[in-house]
Amino acid sequence: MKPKKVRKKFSYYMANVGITGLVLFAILPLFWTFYVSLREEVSITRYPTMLTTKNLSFLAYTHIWRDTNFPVLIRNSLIVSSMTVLLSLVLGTAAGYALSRAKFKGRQGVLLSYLVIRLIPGVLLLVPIYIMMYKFHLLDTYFGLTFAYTTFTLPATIWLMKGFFDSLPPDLENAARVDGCSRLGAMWRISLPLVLPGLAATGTLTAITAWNDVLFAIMLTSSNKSRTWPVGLREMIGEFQLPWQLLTATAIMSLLPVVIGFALVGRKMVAGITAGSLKE
Amino acid sequence: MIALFIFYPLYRGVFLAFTRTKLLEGPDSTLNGFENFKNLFADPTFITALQNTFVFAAFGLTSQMLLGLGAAMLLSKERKYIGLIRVLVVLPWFTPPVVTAYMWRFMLDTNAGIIIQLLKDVGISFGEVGIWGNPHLAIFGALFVDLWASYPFFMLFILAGIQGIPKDMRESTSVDGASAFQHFRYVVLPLIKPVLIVSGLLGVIHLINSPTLMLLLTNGGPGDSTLVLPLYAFRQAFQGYDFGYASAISVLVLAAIAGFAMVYIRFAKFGKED
Repeated sequence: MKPKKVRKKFSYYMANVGITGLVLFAILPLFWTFYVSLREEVSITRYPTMLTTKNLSFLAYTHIWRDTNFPVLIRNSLIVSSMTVLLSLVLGTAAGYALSRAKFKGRQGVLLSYLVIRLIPGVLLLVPIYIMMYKFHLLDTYFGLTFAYTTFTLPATIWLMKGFFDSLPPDLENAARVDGCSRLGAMWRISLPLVLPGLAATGTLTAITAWNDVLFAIMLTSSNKSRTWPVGLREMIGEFQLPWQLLTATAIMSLLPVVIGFALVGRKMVAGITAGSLKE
Repeated sequence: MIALFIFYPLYRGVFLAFTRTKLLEGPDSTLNGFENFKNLFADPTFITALQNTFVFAAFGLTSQMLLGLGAAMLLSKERKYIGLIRVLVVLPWFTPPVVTAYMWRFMLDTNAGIIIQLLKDVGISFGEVGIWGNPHLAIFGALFVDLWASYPFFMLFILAGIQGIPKDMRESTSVDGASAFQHFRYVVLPLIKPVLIVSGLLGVIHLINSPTLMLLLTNGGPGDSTLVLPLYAFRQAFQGYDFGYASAISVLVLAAIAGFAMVYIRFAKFGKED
C-alpha cells in the first residue's frame, strides 16, 4: 500500500509543477512586457535581462495618451466594437432563438453555415467586401467596419445564443403563454432575462473579436476617421525605429479592456464556446 | 445578413478568380478563364508559399494538439482555484494578435530580447541574425509564437471532452488494476476521439487560413522563408492590387481545405464504426 501512496503524492506534485508551468507560460510574457514598458528605453536595449526597480515610471503611458493620436484610435475601436456587439446581439439573439425553438426547413443549413464560414480564407472575402464597401462609399467609416465584423461574429453569436436558449426548459415559456403572454412577450419577459449571463458572455466575445482584428482594419480604413488601434500600433513600427518602451506600453494599454472583459465573464464565455461546439 | 455578407462576397470572390482584375488598370474586370491558375503553377513564389504553408500547418497542428491534450489532462481534475487557472491559461488565445506578434518579436529579438539573452547566458546562441533574421529558424519562431497563442483552443475543446467522461470511470478501471497510462490509452483516448477530430479540423483551417500572425511577425521574411499562402494572397491583393490573382490563390486554398475536410470527415467516420 505504501509505494502506491508515495506514487500518488509524487504524481500530485508533478501535476502541480505542470500546472504552474502552464500558467507561467501564459502570463510571464505579458508581465515582462508590462515591466519593460515601465523602464527607460536606454536600459531596455543595453541591459535586456536586468531586473531593477530603479527609474520605473508610467512616462510612456502619459506620453502616448497626451502626445499621440492613439486616444482617437482607441475611441474609434470602442465605437466600432460597440456597434458590432449591438448589431450582432440583436440579430444573433433573434436568429438563435428562432433556431432553438422553431423547427423549419433549412435549419440545419444555417447551422452548417457556421462551419462553412470557418473554411473560407479571409482574404477571399476581403477583396469582394473591399469592392462592395468601395461601391457603397463605406470605406473608412464606422459602418463599413461594423458590417465587415458582423459578418464574422454573427455565426458564432447565433450558435452560442442557440446553445443558451436550448438549455432553458421550454415549460417555462409554455407556462407564461398559458397565463396569456404572447410568444414574443414570453421570449422578452421570461427567456431573455434568463440567458442574460450568456448574452453578456457572447457580447464580450464579439467585442474582443472586433477589438482584436487587424486584417480588415488595415484594409477598410485609411485615416483617423475610422482607423482602429491595431493599425496604429502596426504603423508605430514604421514611424520610429522599434521604440520598445512605447510599443510595449501601447500593447499593454490595448490589452487592458480584453483582460477586464475576460476577468468578468471569461468562465461563462469558455463554457459557452465548448458546450456549443460539442453539441453537433 | 449572412447571405449578403458571406455568400455574395464568396460568389464574387470565386468569380474574380477567373477574371483579370487589376485595380491599377481600372475597376473593371474581364473574364480570362483559367489564366490566373495557369500562372500560379508557374510562379516559384507560389510554390515556396505552398511549401511553407504545409510545414507551418503540419508542425503547428502537432505541437498545439499535443500541448493542448497535455494541458487539458492536467486541468481536468478539480482542485483549488481551478477556474482561475483555466481562465489564465486561456488568456493568450484572446490576446490581440498585434500584441502577441510584437511582444514575441521583442522577447525573441537578437539584442533586446530577454529569451535570446538568457539562452546566450547558458550557452545557446542564435548568432548575429538571431531568430527573425535566419531563414531556417524564422518559421519555427513563428510556430512557437502560434503555439503560445493557439494551443488554448485545443485545450478548451479537449477539456470539454474529458469533462464529458463520467468521473467514476477511473475508479472502476483502477479497481480492475489498470495503470494511469492504460486508463488514458484505452478509456480516455477513445472517448475524446471525436473531440480531437473536430478540433484538429478547425485547428488546421485556422493555421492555413490566417495571414494575420505572419503579416505582423515576419511579413514573410527573411526572403520568402515564412511566406504562407494567405499572406501571399493578401500581398497580391493589397500591395500588387491584382485582385484576380489573389482570389485565385484563395480559391485554391479553399478548394484544398474543403477537399481535405471531406476526406478527413469520411475517414474519421469510418474510424468510428470499427
